[in-house]
Amino acid sequence: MEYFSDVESYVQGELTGQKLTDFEAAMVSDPLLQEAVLEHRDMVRRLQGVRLRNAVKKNMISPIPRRLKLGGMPVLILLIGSIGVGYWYWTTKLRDSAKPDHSFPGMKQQPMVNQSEPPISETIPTIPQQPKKTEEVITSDKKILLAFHDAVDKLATVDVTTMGDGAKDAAIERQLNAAILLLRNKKPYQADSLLQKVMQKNNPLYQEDAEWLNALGWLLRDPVIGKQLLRQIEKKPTHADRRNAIRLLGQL
Amino acid sequence: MVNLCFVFLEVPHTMTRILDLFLKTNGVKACNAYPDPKSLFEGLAEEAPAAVRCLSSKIAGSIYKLGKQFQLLDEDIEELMCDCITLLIEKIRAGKYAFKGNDPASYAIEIAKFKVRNYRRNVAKDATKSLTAEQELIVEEEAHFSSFEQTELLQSLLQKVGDNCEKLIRLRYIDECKDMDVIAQKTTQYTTVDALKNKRAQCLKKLIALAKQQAVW
Repeated sequence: MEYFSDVESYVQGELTGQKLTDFEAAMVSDPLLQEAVLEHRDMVRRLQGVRLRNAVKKNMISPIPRRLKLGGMPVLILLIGSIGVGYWYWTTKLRDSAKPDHSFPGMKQQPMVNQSEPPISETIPTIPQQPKKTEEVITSDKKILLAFHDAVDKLATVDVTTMGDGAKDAAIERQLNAAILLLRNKKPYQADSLLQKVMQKNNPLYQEDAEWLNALGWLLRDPVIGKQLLRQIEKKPTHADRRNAIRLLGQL
Repeated sequence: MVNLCFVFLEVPHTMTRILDLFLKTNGVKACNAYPDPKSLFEGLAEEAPAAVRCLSSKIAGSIYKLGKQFQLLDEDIEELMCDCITLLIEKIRAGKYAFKGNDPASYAIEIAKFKVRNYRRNVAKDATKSLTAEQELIVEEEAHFSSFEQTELLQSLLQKVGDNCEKLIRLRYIDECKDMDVIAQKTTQYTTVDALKNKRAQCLKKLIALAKQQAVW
């Protein structure tokens, strides 16, 4: 009976030397001890099976689709949403990149005197361009377009805070901006009427800009008249755009 | 309606599997360490967690399909896969499954096929359909290995031997803690290894008696 406490050690292979010999001898003579060893060994094997099964369960990947355990549907919705956003972004980008760049340097920096009024770009509807025709005009007269850009730059740097009659000046400025937009949209006749109004007001700040833009506008629709107007600017020694006019005439 | 069910049930399932594949998650990643059947076999013999993950990822799809084919519940499919992997590892460790160049995953799927058929046979009590000699051998062999039912039964028996005994047995045989460590960390009330061993021997005796009483074996 004393050997029963050694059953575990024997099954685990921990008994050595004399103790092992004694235990094995006892086992031969005691069938109960023999049975106890067999039962113990079997139980240990089963318990180790439980341990192994627990370890397997802990480490294995479930065969059940994740939607049932972790909510695959939200993942799917997220995926579809991401694809949708990606597609929208891609198409928007494509649409934007397909648009010709109409921006004039300095236009955005133009300070607004009356903040309550909507910006020019909203008041004047943008007329869709016909790319082919535009390209023809631009390629035939790229230099005129560059001169336009210079004119707008100049307008953008006008310091409105120094103006005496702010409202009046702002109105003229808006007319000039509107004229620029019209010219940009290849509407020189409409732009011309605005520029005439500006010129009629005889405001020294904008008079010369209006004359210069008027000449450029005419160059687009009738180069002969445009050149005549440039020559008139050339004849005015104090005109701010005289040098530009001379240079442009030389290039034309 | 059937189509709608397909969209809501099957498509997300397929999608998650595709996602798993593309994101290289879980088993796909684990299988990097086991590029060939031999290394997987060796990994399983060592009970390496990554090997278990790799094997389960390889057989998950087939076992899920098989389970659904036999109209098993999701929980049962999971237990079925756990049984298959456990059985395979036990066979490897007992030297009853030697590596012959085949993928262990194929063998695990074969086990699953057999188990699920046997399960159906038991449920249907289809005594007229006799097993082949080969299948009889598997049944006989399987009786010695751990399965979900046996594990559950043993766990329930463990709860009946008392808290102290359950703790002692779990520490030694399920959590595989060394006696010296148990004493050093004062996890139990016993202060010497001999006292711990004596008490555990009594506990195991109690557990064996209970198992006999419940006709576990």
